[in-house]
Amino acid sequence: MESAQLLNLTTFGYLASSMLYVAILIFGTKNRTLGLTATLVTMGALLLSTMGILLRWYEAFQLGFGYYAPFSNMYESLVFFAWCIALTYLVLEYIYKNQTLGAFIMPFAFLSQAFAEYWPQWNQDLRPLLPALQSNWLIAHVIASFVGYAAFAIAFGMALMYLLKARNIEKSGRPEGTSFFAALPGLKVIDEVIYKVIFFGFVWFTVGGLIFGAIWANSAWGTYWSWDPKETWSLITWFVYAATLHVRYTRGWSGKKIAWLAVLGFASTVFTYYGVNFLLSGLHSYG
Amino acid sequence: MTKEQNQVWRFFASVKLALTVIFMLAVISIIGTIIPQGKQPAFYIQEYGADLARLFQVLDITNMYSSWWFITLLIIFSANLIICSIDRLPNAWRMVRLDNLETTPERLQKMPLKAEMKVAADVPDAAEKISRLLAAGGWKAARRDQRDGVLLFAQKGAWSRLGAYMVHISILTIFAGALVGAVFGYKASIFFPEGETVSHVFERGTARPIPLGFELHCENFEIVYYPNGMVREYRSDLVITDPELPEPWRTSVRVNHPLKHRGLTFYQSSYEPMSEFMINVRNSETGRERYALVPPGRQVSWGEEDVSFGVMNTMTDRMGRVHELQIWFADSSEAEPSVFNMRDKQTVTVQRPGNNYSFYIQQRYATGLQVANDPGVWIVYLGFALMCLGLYITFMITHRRLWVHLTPDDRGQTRLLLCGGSNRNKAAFDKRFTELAERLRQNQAIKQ
Repeated sequence: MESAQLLNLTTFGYLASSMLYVAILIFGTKNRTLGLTATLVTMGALLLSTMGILLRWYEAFQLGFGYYAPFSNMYESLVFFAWCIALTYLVLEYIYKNQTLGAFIMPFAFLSQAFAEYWPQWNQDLRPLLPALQSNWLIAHVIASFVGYAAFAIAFGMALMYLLKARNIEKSGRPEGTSFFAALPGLKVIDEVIYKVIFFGFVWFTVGGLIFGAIWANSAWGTYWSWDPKETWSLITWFVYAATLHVRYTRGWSGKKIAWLAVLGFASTVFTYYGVNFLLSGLHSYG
Repeated sequence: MTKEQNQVWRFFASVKLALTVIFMLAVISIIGTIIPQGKQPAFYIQEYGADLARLFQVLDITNMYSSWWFITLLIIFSANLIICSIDRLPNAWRMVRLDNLETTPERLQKMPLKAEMKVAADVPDAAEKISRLLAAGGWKAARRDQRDGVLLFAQKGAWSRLGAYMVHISILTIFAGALVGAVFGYKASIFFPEGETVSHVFERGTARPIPLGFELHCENFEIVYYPNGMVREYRSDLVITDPELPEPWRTSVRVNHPLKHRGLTFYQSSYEPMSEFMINVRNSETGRERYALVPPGRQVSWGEEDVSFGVMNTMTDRMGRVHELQIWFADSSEAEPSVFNMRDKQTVTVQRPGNNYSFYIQQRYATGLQVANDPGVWIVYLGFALMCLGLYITFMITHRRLWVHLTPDDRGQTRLLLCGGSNRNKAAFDKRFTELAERLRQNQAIKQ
C-alpha cells in the first residue's frame, strides 16, 4: 500500500462521514446505529489519513531525502488541515456528546481533503525539502498553526449553525425552531462552543503561527518580523480574533455578533492560509 | 487629577479605543500586502502610473510599515495597552487579594451555585469536619468565626485573573525589544566572491560600510543537490580571522543554520554564479601546478610549462549556473590543440604529446550574506515567553471560589450553605460543584 492510495481513500472516508452526519441531522439523533456508524467511519477515515501521512513520511525517509516532514507543500498541508479538523471534531463530539455538530464540521474536512486530492494545480509528488524548510521549526510551526486553523474552521461551522438556527427560530417563532433545527444544540450552547473553540484556536495560532513562525524566521532570515504578506495576514487574522475575544469579554457581545465575527475571522484565515500564496507574492510560497 | 486629564486618561484606557485601533491596524495592514513594499520608484511608476506612484511616495505607502502614520498608530496602540492595563490592573489585583471571608450572607445567597444541607453537629464541630472534607478534595479552606456562625472559604487559581494582563505586557515587551533592536542594532549585508576576504559589511538601506573588527574569508560556496536535481543545501565555507581568536576559525553558514560571532549573526541569503572560472592545471608527472582565474574566451599562458588554455564556450541554466564547458588546451608541440567538453567541478586528464595534465575547473560563485546585530531579540523572545504563559493562564486556569456558611439551627445542629462560582469554564465548575455537594450530603460523618 502506498501513502497516495491511503490518502485517496481518506477522501471517501471523509465524504461518507459528512453524508452520515447530514443523515443524522435529517433523520434525527435517535437512531443509535446511524450515530455509531458515523463516529466509526470518521475514526476510520482519521486513521487512514494518519497512516497515509506517516507512510508518506516513511517513503520520504526511504528515498533518502534526509530531513523531511510531510507538511511541505499545499497538497500535504491541505491533507493535514483535514486531519486536524477531523481530530478536533471527534474530540468535540466526545466532550459535548452531540452528533449534530458533525454535519457542520466534517464537510470542511472533506472539502480540504478533496481539494488536496483533486485540484490539478498541486504537485502531489513526494519532493525533498528546499533548504529554507529544513528546520525543526517546520514541524512545530505547521502543526500548531494548523490546529489553530482547524479550530477557526470549526468555529466557522458552528457560527453557520448558529446563524441558521437563529434565523429559523425568528421565522418559525418557536423557541427551538422547526424540523432539524430543533435537534441542534440550544443557541446558548452553540454560542459557548464558538467562543471556546475560538479561544482554543487563538492560543494555538498565536503560539504556533506567530511566535514559532517569528522564531523560525529569525533563525532562517535574521529578522523575526519582516511584514511579508503571509506574516501580515496572520497578524490581521490575529487582530480579528483578538477583537472577538475582547468584545465578548469586555462588552458582553454574544450570539449573532460573535457568530459573524467567527465568519469574518475564518474568511481572514482562509486568505492567510490560501489566498496569500496565490494572490500575493512573498517569502512564504510553499504553503 | 483634573477633569481634563481624567478625560484624556479615560480615552486612552477605553476598550473602545483598543477595538478601534485593532480594527484600523488590521484594515490598514492590508494595503502593504497588496502594494509591494520597498521597491525602486521606477517599479511603482511602471505598475501604477506616475500619478499614483507620486501619491504612494507622498503617503509613504511604499514603505508603509515604517511610515510615520503607521508608527503613530502603533504608539497609540501601545499607549492604550499601557494605560488600559494600569487602569484595570488594580481591580484585578483586588480580585486576587480580596478577603472573601468578608462576604456578606446576602451576597452568598446570590451566588450562581448553591446547595443547602443539614449537618448533625454543632457549628464549631461541623466547621472542623467540613474543613477536613474540603481539604481532602484539594480545597484548603480559610475560616472566620462570625457572630452568627462560621464562614469557610477556599479558592483555586485566583492569580489567573492576571493572565490577560500578562498577555498585554508581553505585547509591550515585544515592542520594547523591537525598539531596542531598531535603535541599537542594525541589519546589513555583504556580497563577495569565493576566494575574497572582507572586513566590512554594508548597512541595509544606507549602504554605509560598517567595520566588522575581524576578517571574513569565503573559501567556497557550494550548492548541494538532491538526486532529482532539486537544491538540498546552499553553503558558504568561511574562515574568520579575528585577533580575539587564537587561530582562524573555519566554519560554514547554511540556510537555517546561521553563524554567530561577536554579537553578529550571518545568514546565507543569496548567491550569484559569476562569469569566471577557477582552473587548476597540474603536470601529472612533475606535479607542478598552476591556479588561474579565467573569464570565458580569455586565453591563459603558463610560461613554465609552455602551455596555454582557456574556456571557449559554456552552457548555462537559467540561473546562470554553468553545467558544461568547452575547453581549449594547447602546448608548444606541433599537435593540434585539444578541444574537449567537461562539467563543472570535474577533473579531466589532458593527454598531450609531451606530458599529461590533470585539468580541474570550477565556476566561481559569489555568496550573499545577511548580517544582523539585534541586541533586542532576547527582549522580544522574553515577550514571546510571557505571551505563551499569559495565554496558558488565561485559557487553562479558572478562578474557582467556594464558600461554606455554617449557622446553628434551633435544634443545636448546623445549617450548611455551600456556594461558589468561577470566572470561566462555568459548565465544568458546575459539575464539580454538584459532585462536591453530593459528596458532602452522602458523607456519614456529617449526615443527619
